[in-house]
Amino acid sequence: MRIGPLLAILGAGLRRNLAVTSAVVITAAVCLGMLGAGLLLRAEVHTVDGYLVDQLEVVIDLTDDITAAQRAALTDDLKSDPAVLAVRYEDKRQVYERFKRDFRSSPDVVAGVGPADLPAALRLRLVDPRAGDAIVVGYTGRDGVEAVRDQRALLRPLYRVLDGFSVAAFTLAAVQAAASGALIYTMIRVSAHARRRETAIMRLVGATNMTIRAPFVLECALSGLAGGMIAAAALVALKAFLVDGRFAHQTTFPLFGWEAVWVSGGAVMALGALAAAAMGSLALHRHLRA
Amino acid sequence: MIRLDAVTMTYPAGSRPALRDLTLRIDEGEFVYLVGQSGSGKSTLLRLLLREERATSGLVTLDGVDLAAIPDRKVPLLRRAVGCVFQDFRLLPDRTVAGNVAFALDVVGRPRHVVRAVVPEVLGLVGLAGKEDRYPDELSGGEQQRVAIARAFVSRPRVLLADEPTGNLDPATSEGIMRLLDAVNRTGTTVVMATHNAGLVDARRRRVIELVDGACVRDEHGGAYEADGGDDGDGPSGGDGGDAGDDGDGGDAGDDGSNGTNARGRAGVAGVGGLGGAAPAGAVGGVG
Repeated sequence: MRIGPLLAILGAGLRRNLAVTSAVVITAAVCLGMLGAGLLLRAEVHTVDGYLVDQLEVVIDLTDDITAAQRAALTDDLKSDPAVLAVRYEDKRQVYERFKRDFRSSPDVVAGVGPADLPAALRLRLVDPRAGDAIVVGYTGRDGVEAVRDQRALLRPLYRVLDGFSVAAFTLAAVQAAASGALIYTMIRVSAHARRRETAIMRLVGATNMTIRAPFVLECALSGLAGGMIAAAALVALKAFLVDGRFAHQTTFPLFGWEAVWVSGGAVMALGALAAAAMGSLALHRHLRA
Repeated sequence: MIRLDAVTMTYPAGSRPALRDLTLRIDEGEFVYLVGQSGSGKSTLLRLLLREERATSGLVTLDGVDLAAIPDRKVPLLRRAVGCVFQDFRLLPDRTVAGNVAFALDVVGRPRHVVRAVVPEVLGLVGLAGKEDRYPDELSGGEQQRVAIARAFVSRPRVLLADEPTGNLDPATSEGIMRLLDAVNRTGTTVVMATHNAGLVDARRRRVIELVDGACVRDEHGGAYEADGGDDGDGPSGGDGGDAGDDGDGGDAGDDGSNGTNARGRAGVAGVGGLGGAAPAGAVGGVG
C-alpha cells in the first residue's frame, strides 16, 4: 500500500477514535514517565557509585599491641594480594588528623577524642573497589588486626533508598502499563468495529493481511510514541528545573547528566511505540478477522 | 475456468450441508445465473469461490488451482482476480464515488498515476462520469450499485461474483444494472450472479444453475428462472431491456470500445493459477 492512502486511513482512524486514543496517550505517558524516572534513579545510583568508588578505601584498624614484625608481615601479605592496588600506613596521629578533618562540622565530637583513642590503620586501594568483601573476610581475625572496614558498605543504605525508589517507580510503571494495555485493547476493539466495513472491503478486493492491519498497528504505535514523547519531555523538564535547578546546590553527591536523560527519553519513546504496536497486534488477532 | 467436483460444504454449526455433492463447470467468459430459494446454497457457493470458506469435501478450482490448497497469505492474490458485488452495495460512506473506486486500487498498492488514470475511465464505463465527487448517500440505489460494480471491476478481475445485486433495486433500475453486468461480461469477464429476480433471468435466457437444498437440480443453457420455462421477459420485474431508470443510462460499457478479451491483456492463468504476481495490475492499463 502506498504511504498516502495509508496515512489517509490512519488519519481517519485517529480522528474517529480521538477520545480513546487520547486516553491511551495519557496513560502511556504516565507509565513511561514512571519508567523513565526509574531509569534516571538507576542512573543516579550509578553516578554516585562511580564518583565515590575511587575515593573509598578498605581500612584495616590495627590493635595497639601489634608488633613491628606482625605489621610488616601483614603489609607484605597485602602488597602481594592481587586484589590490592596500594597499601598505606597511617599512625595514630595521622588517623586523628583525618578524624578531625572528617568531623570538622562536629567540634563536640572532636573534643571528646584524642589521638590515643584511635587505632593506627592500613588503608588499602583495591584493584576492584567493589570487591571489598573478600578483603574483609580474608583479613579479619589476623594477628594485630582489630577490624577491617569496607567504606563502601557505608553507602549501602543510600543505595538501598535509591533502589527502593526506582523499584517503586518500576512497579507503578508496570501498573500503568497494565492499564495502557487494557486501553489499547479497547481502542483496537472500538476501532475494528468502527472500521469493519472498510476492512471487509479491503479483504474482498485483495488487500494483504499486513495492509489491513497496518493502520491499526500504526495507530497504536503512534499513540505509544506520543505517550513516550510526553514522558521524555517530562524527564527533560525534571532534569532542567528540578535536578539542575534545585538539587544541584543542595547535595554534595554528583547528579546524573544529560546523557542519562537522552538515553532514558529515547528508551521510553522506543518502548512506548514498540510495546503499543505489539499490544495492538495482539488485540487485532482477537478482534480483526484476517 | 471454474470447476467444482463433488463439493460438499457443511458449516461448523450447521446440521445439514449448505452444499451437497455439487459438481459443475463454468467456462471463461460465461454469464451464469445462480437461482434457488433462500438457504439453497447460492451464497455459500460464491463464498467458496472467494475462498471465504473452504469446502468440507470435494474440489473447488479456478484455472486449475485448488482454492482450498492456497495458503492464507496468498488468498489476497486470488481475490484480486475475483470481483464481488453485493445486494447492500457495501460502499464507504465517508469516501466519494471516486474515492470508493480508488480504494480498491490503493489498498493493493497500485501506483498513484494508475489510480488517477483508471478510476475516471471505469466511472465513465459504468455511467457515473461527472459524479466522481458525490458521496454514496447523495446517490440513488442504482447509482450506488454502479459504484460497487466499478469498484469490483476496476482491477479487471477475471471473474465477477454478484450476490443478488438487484435485490434492493426497483425493476427499471435493476435492468440498468443488468445491462452493466452484461457489458462487463462482454469484456471477457466471467459473471456468476445469484438472484431471485425471475424477470431478469427470463429476459436474457442465459445459463441457469438452480440449487435446491445445496444440490444442483438444474443446469440449463438458455434457461429461465423456473424449470418449466420462462415467459420470455415479461415477468414481475419487467425485464424488457428498458432504460436504466433513475440511475442513469450509461452502463453500456461493452459498447464503448472497452470490450474484447484481448484488449485488456487477460491475466490468464497467472492471475489465479500462478498466484505469484499481481496480474491485474498490468490488465488495468488496458481499460477502455
